[in-house]
Amino acid sequence: MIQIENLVKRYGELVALDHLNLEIREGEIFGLLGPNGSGKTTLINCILALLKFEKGTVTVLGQQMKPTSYQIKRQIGVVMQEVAVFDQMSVKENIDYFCGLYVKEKIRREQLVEEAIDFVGLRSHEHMRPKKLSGGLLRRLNIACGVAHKPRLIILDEPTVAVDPQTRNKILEGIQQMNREGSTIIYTSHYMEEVEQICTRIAIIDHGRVLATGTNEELKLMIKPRENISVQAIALDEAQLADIRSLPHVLDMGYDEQNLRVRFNSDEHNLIQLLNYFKDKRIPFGRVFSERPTLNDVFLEITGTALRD
Amino acid sequence: MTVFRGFLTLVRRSAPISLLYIAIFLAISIAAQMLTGQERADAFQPASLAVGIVDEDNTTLSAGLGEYLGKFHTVTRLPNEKDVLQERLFYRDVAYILTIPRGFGGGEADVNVTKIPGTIAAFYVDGQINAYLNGFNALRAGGYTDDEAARMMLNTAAIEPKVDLLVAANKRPAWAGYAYMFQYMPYVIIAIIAYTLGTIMIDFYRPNARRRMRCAPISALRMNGEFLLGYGIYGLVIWALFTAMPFVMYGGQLLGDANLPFYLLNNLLLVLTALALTSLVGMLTRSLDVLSGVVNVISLGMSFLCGVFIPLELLDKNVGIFSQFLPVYWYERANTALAENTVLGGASLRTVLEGFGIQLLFAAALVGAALIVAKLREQETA
Repeated sequence: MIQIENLVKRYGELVALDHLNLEIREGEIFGLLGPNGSGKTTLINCILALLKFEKGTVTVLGQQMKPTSYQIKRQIGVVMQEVAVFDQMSVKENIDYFCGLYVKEKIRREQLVEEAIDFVGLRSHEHMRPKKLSGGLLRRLNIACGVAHKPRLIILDEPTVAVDPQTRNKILEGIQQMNREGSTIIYTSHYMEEVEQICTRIAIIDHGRVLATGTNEELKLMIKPRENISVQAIALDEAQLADIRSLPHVLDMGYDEQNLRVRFNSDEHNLIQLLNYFKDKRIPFGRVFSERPTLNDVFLEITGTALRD
Repeated sequence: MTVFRGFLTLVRRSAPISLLYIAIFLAISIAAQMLTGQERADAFQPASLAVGIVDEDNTTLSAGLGEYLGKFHTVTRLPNEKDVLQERLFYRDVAYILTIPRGFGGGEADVNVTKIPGTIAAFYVDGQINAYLNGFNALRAGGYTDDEAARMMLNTAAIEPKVDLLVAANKRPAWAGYAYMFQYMPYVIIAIIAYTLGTIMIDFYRPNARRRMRCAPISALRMNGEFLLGYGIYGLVIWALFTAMPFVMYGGQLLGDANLPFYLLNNLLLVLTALALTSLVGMLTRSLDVLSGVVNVISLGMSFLCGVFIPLELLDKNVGIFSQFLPVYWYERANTALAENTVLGGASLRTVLEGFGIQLLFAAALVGAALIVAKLREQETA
């Protein structure tokens, strides 16, 4: 659906996109994951032909994207990071206005507007002005304005920034529903748990480059740690720590504040062998946690730094 | 025509504010015409004051003087007590106190007068006292007795002054009512247009909204075209509405005015200038609170400086020089020429045409500045 090749965008000396390559397939919920300033929004703006770029090509729906590619634009819905609605129009008028930029036929548009209001759950607020809405409701209005015309491709640029958890869940559910109804979704965020939750494929971006692309599982397989185990243990001496370090598949470990953390490069039998060691040595222990690596671990492994806000 | 429809929706939202401004305008113009209009009337009316007289002389001359003044003014006899006199002046019971001392009739003393400071009409009383005394003394010197002289002077008071106001060719003796309406229009037209369209521009040119619209399958040309169409139609509606008001109030009188086309054109140019001014204000302003302040400063500022609320001839010379750099000055200058001349020609026609031309230049300059700001903002959005 979208093919980006060798894309370069500079702001003066700053290279915002550095020979970036990416392919987004029809039917995906494609996550663009990266810290603030990594180039996500710049990439979106280049895809939408809102920005001129120095080098490379952007192909959308089989055609090269230009500011005048109205046939392509007609099939795209955009939800910007910042709320972009008219303060002087009501909720319904705003949705109708932005839908009207794509759908000329009045009856069809009215139907779409009604569906969009129900979709984002703003029926009881449809006559209110945006200034009267809470932050969460405003975000929902922002989404409704972007997707009311039921586009084939929906681009959501950090739509859950500064929203409460309840609204965030509703937004994420809505995105999955739109995808089930046939829309391809590009979802940018710096919240890894969101991307992990809804995206079928993910690209990790930093400093304007795609560092890795794949499904959630594929990305996690790219890194060495396969299982992280934490054990609450009151007093471990140096000899015991050395024993644990020598257990099979231990990648590295740390011990502070009575908390032992061990990373394994295999995802099988790690917990059993660790607990057996505690049992054999009669070492008292408290809570035990075992978890698979997260996208944060993937990001940490790939970039060498934690995902910065 | 989605952008145009959106524009109209936003215009509808501003209707209550527009109606408020229209009500203020009608109230101001009707009240001002009733007050100011009387001052410019073509009838002569002598001034009459409340005059207090302290007569300690009690002679034929002093009694005759009191009676003489009573023909023109409301005369009250007062005792010669300082506290009473001060109190009557303080409470404005009288505006002028004439004290005639003992021995005045015999030429041993002179009259004493006390006036409320700054009362222009008091000079009128001074003149009447001088006229009476000069006349009385001339008659007495001519052999008339004091009684005869006093009676003859009293008879002269019955003669009503004949005043003929001369009006130059093609000049009106007084402004017509609708001329006052046109005089006050800049305030309300600028305020309504700047507030309504400024509000819409803030919404339309907010970077986020602009970016979202640039994602839509509509060309920038079409979008701006529809916006300009709304802009133009709104301007025409405002022009039609405000030119209709004098017609409603003064109907036939305005239709019979030979300067009617010039009034309409002057008003149209004012609307055009207001639209151009708004395009710049809307581009430079990003919040409604700021816009509200800016609109008040511009509309009231230009109204006070350019002869809307204070006639041009009463403006300080330096203010007048500064006002020439504001478009409303040229509107008012043309309006004054239209109001004062029944038929335009020579200097008056030149004044009106000059006003039109300079308003057009102002409009063009303001639009040019707005386009530059728009370009800069577009780059900022990109």
